[in-house]
Amino acid sequence: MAKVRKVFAFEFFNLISKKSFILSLILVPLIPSLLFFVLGRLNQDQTQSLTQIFTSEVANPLPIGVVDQSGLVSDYPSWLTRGELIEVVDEAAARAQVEQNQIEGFFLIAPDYLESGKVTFIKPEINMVTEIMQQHTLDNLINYNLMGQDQELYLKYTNPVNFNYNFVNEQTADKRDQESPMTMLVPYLITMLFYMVILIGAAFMINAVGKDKDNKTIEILMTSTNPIELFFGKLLAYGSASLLQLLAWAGAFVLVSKIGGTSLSFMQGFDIPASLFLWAIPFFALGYMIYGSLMAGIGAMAPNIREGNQSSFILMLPLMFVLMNIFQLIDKPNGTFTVFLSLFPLTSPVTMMTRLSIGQVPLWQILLALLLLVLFVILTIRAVANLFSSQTLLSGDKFNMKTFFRTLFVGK
Amino acid sequence: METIIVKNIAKSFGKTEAVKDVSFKVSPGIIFGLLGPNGSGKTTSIRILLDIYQPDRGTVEILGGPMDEGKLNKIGYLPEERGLYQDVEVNRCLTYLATLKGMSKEQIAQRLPVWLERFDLTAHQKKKNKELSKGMQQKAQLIAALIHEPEIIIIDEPFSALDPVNTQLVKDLLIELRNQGKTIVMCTHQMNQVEMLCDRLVLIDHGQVLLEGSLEEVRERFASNQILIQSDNPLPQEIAGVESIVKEGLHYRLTPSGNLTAHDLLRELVRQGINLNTFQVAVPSLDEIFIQVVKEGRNDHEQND
Repeated sequence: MAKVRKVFAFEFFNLISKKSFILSLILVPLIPSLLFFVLGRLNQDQTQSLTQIFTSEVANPLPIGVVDQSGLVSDYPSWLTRGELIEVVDEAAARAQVEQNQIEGFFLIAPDYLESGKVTFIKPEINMVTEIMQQHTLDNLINYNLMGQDQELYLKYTNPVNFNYNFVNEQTADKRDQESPMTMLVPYLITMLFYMVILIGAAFMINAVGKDKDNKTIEILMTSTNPIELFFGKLLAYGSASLLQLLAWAGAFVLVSKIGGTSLSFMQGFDIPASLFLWAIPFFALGYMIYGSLMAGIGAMAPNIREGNQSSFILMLPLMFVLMNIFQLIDKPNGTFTVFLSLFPLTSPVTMMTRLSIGQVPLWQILLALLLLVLFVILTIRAVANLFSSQTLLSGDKFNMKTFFRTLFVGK
Repeated sequence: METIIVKNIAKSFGKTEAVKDVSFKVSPGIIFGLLGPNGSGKTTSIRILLDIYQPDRGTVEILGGPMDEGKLNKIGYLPEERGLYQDVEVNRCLTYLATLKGMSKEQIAQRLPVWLERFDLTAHQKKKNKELSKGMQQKAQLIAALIHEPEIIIIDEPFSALDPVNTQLVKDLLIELRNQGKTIVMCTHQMNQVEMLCDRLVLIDHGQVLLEGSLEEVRERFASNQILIQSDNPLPQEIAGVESIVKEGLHYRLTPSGNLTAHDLLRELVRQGINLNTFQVAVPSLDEIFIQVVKEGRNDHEQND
């Protein structure tokens, strides 16, 4: 145990005193903080939506003209166009208004629109973001006119069903504000944060073991400590450093959300559930232990850091799978698929955080996920211990995934 | 009592038999040469000795019994492949390695400056290892092997990358440690250093012992009756009682026939009026013995295969 402590102290302080680590600790939260600070300053005097902040081309955007050669569009209600679209009699007049800077550009609806659906957008400057929005408004305007300019019918068409939810289980009730961008953004960011921190912690481990091989210190260490002490010392050191990173980044995330919440409309009312912070540490610690141990196993078997890193990809697939399905998980936080991933030990550390960032998760599911994780950690560490033998560590043989898994599951 | 007793150890890696049968004993207060060509099984034998590898067969006794953690701390090891953390300061790296050998912070604070001073590294202690020259790294590695004042010192190529001044420094240090009663096992391919420093040696190849004994015993075993002379005059074509005369640079190598002793030959040369600058019994160098023994061993090995 004393040697585990010594390995821990050396590796931990060695890592946290590195410039790259300190910089990542500061810069990762600093960059979004600065972004939100700037947005907050811009937004101090007027409550703009995030979309408006990013899409306002000029201080007072000019309207877009509509030259309707088909005769379909005759009503331009302001509740629909919001002044963004105005009627222009013909193409020549529209071109003249563009030149006189009265309109930004114009849509030319073809005479055979009903057959061809042809609309030409004529505009001196291209802006992909605003154009999508302007085209969307034109779509709405045409639909409204095609429906005989019946506002009620049109609104029913655009929003055909008003669901009324009655939640059987209040604990898992999805009471999120579907209109708020934060409903998707917060779980996404928290999932990404956990994914990154576990991935970085695991990468630290593979590099730490590989570094001992590359520096040829492994043989010296083998004459002073046994491989298992070395493994645990490193696992704890890099786990602690990653936890420090997680706390710093999560703290900055909360701070940013508070700052943003006071100055940005889209962040107002946004709150991270307190339970997330309570469960974050055990889920991170156990998730890190699984992936950190597996990575250390690869590091022990691979002849150098480069080959180890190349081979580590396959072990990260379960976490990548979570990211690939992130929107489905956020959409249905209590669906069968999401619940399964939040209980399965290789995906639960990240998926459970996604669910907790959305809202309440039944306590039994959290406890079951933790229990399964603890059991899986024990099995993983026992399996990786098979790889942490002097013979493997000192071997210069090429890495072989088949041998890796065989040693992991069957032993030497 | 011997500090190291290695009995019939063997170790295989897959189908490769790295060590077939190696035995030797090392007493305290001597420098023991563990010699052999590349790939002979030296490193594997050392790793078994250090308990890094478990032997498939045979036993190793260290300080009167099997290896344990306490005994590991009484061993200093300089491996063939030097190992220092390249991105870490010399001071910090040596402190870490010393703590793993069971030294307290106080002991390190006391001893490390002395060793750094002795190896002329004091001014470089805050530098990262990668900023040091190879010779300096070698000296730092030696400090790592010796700082905890081990009873047994195992050093592989201790003079590698050292200039003549530092080579002498290390030689003096090894002699000093031997005189203090430490047991030193030295692996090197520099046979001149073995001749100068080693009291006993073992030569292994193909994982087997080919030769063992004290330096004198080995030399005697391979001594010939040849005589080397240096003379200002050209030698006559024939000298009574001499089988062959071969010129080797400035020397002549004379092979006496029958029972002619060196003394008899000297008298004969003087009688013939040959002006002698040097007259010496040709003792084979360790290099020559090494080559001869390894060649013979390989021939036997091939025949057995």
